[in-house]
Amino acid sequence: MDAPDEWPLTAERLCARYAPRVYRFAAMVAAGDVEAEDLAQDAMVRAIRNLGRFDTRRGSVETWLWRIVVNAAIDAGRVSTRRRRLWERFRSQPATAENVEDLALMRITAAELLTAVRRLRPRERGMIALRFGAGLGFADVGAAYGISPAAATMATRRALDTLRTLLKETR
Amino acid sequence: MSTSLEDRLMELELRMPDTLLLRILGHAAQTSEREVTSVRRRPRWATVALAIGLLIAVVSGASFYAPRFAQALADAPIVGTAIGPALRSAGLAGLQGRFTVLDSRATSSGYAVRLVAGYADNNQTVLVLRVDPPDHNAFGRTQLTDQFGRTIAFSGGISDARTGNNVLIFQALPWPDSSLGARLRLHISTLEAAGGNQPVAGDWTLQGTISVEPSRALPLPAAGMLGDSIVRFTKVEATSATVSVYLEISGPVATQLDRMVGPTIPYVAKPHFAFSSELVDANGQPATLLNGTGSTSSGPAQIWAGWVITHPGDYQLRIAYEGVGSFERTITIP
Repeated sequence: MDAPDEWPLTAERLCARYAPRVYRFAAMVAAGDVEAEDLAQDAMVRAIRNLGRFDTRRGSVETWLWRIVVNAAIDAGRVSTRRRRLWERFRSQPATAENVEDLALMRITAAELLTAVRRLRPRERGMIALRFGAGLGFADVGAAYGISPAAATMATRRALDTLRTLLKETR
Repeated sequence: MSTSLEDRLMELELRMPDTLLLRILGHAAQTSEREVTSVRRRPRWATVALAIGLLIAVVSGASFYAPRFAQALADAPIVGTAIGPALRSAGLAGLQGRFTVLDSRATSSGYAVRLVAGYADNNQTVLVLRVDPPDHNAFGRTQLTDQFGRTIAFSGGISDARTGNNVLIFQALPWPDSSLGARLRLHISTLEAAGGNQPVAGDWTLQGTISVEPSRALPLPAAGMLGDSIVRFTKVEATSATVSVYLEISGPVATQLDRMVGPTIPYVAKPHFAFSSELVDANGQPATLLNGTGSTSSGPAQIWAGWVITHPGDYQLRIAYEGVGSFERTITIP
């Protein structure tokens, strides 16, 4: 359950505690830095507006908040899908690379890694961003998407596999 | 799964821009204001408030949805002095026993609204209501007027969507209400659903008479310095339950009252405002901040803050700006 110092759960406390992680999530799932800021803002404002609906009997703040954040990301994705598809159509074809993952990972920059994450499909991006951007456990990742922890584990694993493929293509 | 890929993902440097937090809080405050008060008039001074005003507005705005308060209220029968636990939970403990018990009821569109209790001093007017069924709150179209028909501006509040308990905080009653007391009329034409669902239109008119807790001016503490900035005390006054401090800040700090500092380390540390004011009693117990606002539009910053106090005696007021300086002054509540 949530730490006592979170109460009463005000907008300021919610932001101070969660906004940096929401931004990390947003930075991974959004198309760019500006979109990430907009998404993080939209998600946090939605959460603040819905503070009155949060009920401790129905789950933790984490579960409640990340559901809102994921929904905001899905909504933002709907808006930008057309633009992204165009971009994907015109981006250059990736080149093949050696299948030595660790060596490849050592060589890629953080910017390249982030770019690769952002090229994943929306749901894959979301899984990666929740798990590694926001630092959630698989149970919370699953709760955010309304699936079981086991399903979240599998989905995240598949997303990582796809990411590996993209990274190899990048190198 | 490859540990190295996971590590690289977790180590990605994705630092939140410093300005984003304020953007979020500011936008949320504006949204709340629009949603909650379509007929509410913002006080003229509030439109120029940027720094402390933003902080206070956000804090009080967010309090609309404070569930902890709701839990405490749900446990307390909200009649007479039994509102004490709820007031404590809302940070209004010092006001316990200062409320005038009211019992005005109105029913419309299937919703009953009851004005339960009220409190007023020179800095705020507080009303406690109950809405039944509790799925809507009194922050829709709500207007408070006095016996002269003057509107008292709304400044914040708290509601509980499970119990229907609402605490509405308005600005201070104007003269001569402040001397004579006020016959208040609260008219609600729309109840708002928590979370912004469909509002309920109706006609609820509630009335009650409350007196204004007298306040007395206290000696002004000496001015202090925050680096190159001067902090002057322009007014300090107290009731038996609250103390209000008015400040004027001149210098570089005056335009940077909304700056946030400190690292973000999840679960360990979070950014906070560089400027702070804290009131602590002789036992080291901090007083609860009740209300306040400020302006940094141009020239010196004007700030006032009010705390709830529970006993007379010496209190230490600490004014600080992180990385710049701090000072303390003693305020004696007789």
